[in-house]
Amino acid sequence: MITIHINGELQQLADNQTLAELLVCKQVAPQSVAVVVNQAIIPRSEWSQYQCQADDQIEFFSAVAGG
Amino acid sequence: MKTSLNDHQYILYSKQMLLTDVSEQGQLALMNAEVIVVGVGGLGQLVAQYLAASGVGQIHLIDDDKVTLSNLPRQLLFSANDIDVNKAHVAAGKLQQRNRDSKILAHSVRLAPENYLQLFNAISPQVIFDCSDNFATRQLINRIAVEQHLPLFSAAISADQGQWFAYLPESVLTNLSATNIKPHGCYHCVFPADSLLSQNCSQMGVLGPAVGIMASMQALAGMNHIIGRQVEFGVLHRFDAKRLSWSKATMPIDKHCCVCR
Ligand SMILES: [Zn+2]
Repeated sequence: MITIHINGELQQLADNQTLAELLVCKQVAPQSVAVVVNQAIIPRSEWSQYQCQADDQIEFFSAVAGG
Repeated sequence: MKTSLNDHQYILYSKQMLLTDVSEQGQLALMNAEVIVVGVGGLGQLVAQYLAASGVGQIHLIDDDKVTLSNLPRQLLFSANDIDVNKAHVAAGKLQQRNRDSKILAHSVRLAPENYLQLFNAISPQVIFDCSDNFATRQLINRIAVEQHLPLFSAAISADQGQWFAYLPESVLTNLSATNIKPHGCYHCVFPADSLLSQNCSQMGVLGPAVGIMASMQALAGMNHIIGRQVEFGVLHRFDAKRLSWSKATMPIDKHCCVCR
């Protein structure tokens, strides 16, 4: 198990879990968010390759489009 | 092209030129600049005011919307007398009256895939400001920035969440010698076109100063770029208007992006 931070909260995670799997487990619709890991956006096309590391700071957020 | 200022302009723009890295050269860069502002709502009406007042030479305002009563608490350029009149026309009229050094042009159209080429064949802006109010237009403006080789200064806000970024297409980047700007992702790299928004923004509330903060950031970043100051491109800044806090994240290239790759 590893510990990561998701939107500021601690979360235990199995080893070798990808961002894509993490989103499924958090019940977040993939098309509804951008994902930031340690202050860098990870493009959606790379979520299934990115394996979460211990102490990763992960954030999900949606686009806003108003003006 | 302007190469010098008259006495009136020296006094008018003195506070800008007192910044040592702006000086007369930076002021002339502003006065020789042609820019396009897409959307003249909460963001665009303030961006346009700052740009015009700073002496930017040519400002194209694009909007097909009309002023409504519920716009007035945050769109301070407009008043009750302007209700039901096209926003681009109202804004251009008022700004032209106040700012003689700028040429303000109103285009009362909704920017769309079918009409943007016609518009961009007729004008030659060096910078584009995305002040639009919907996701589809934001995707289109991003595509235009890539295709037309335009630096993009984009801001958005819904409820208490603001986002802004500056994007420099790689085609522009490779033409800039001696730059330390690295290639970075476009808007579509971050939010692909099939992204779902959590809220429909036209139904979301917002406070005037929160919109003003986002508009000020994009106007300032755009002016800094025109003046020749270093701008941090490829970073998405997020603002929480309740906590008044900022966070930022770099925007790497999506190798599979269908817009910028
Ligand atoms: Zn892209």
